[in-house]
Amino acid sequence: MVFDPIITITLSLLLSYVFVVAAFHKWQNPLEFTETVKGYRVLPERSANAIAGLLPLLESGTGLALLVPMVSSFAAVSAMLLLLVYMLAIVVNLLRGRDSIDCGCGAPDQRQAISAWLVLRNAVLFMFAWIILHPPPARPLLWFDWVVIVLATAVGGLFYNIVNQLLVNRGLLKTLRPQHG
Amino acid sequence: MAEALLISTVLLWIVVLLMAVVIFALVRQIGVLYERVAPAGALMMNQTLKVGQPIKQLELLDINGRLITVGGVPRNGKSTLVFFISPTCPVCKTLLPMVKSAHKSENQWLEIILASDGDHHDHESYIARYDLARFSYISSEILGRSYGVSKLPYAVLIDEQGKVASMGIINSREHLESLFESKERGVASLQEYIHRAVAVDSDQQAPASGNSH
Repeated sequence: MVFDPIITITLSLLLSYVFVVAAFHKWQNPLEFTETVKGYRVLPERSANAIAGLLPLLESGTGLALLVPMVSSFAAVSAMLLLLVYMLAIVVNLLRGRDSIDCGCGAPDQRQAISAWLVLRNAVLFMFAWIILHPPPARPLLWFDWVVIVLATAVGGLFYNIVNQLLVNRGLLKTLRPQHG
Repeated sequence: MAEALLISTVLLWIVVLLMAVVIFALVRQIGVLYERVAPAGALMMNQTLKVGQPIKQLELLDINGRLITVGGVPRNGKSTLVFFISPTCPVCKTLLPMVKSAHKSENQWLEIILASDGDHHDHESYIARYDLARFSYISSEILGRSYGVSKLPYAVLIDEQGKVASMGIINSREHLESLFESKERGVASLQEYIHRAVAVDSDQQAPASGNSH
């Protein structure tokens, strides 16, 4: 399947934004992120420090490489791998019934627990990366194409934040529900 | 015609963008609202302990090997706050500064014991990193189990007669203060307080609605 350059460029910009912001949040709070990695309990605890240091590097590298046409397909593969790892880690913990651990995504004040919705969100991002992996036939881009790309990226970025906030709200609402016992 | 389409498309894009901004703002506001409403009090969620119930006396070793008495009628006449935390719980460490300040300000009537379980080394580095040496720190599975603690961070406030004054999950300063508050007011928990308020409310409304018919 082949997509128009408008779509692939927009998705590249969007995915780049998602990864760079994710890496930035992890750098802001390295100690907390190490605890989050431990919280997932998928790898030995001793490796948590290394992983917590490595993931933001991989994320920011992937995010920036997505912007460079020469290496964007490598970046797309790397994005798919990262997302796959995240989805697996979340699914494993959901299956274990540990659905209240911190997901480690987003800003520190936007704490949210892992959920099936998060897997779905990552699956959509995974699909975006897959689309980027199928480069379009070259066609000259007019100014109007760039207008659409910029506006669509802005809308997409906002939409991503809306989805995240909705997931955070969902967790907050859970704590509001009356408890018996 | 082509030009009109072009203009309309750009206009529509801009409208979509503005709508997305508005939706984001609304969703964010809802989030803030939930946050403001939520920390009104600590949730109880405890099948084992009941408020007002005397706590059985337990003799436990703290992390430094000192013998600590938890529960029973305290000899110094102080209340005890048993705060359940864990080095692996991210929320817990955001609450530590608050526990320290409570330790300082409520010193006259309150003793604070930190309780956890698991690996000894984890606790030692945790104590060193967050400067917790001033607290009695107990690592014991028995304590958590006998208090029916299932979610962290959790706190149980034991009054000066050795009875449970209040307890609940602690996620913020307001939660901890609500424990002190409910001890003072003699209300078991936020739920009970709301329950009472609702009961009083409906009592007051009942005659009014009777008159209107």
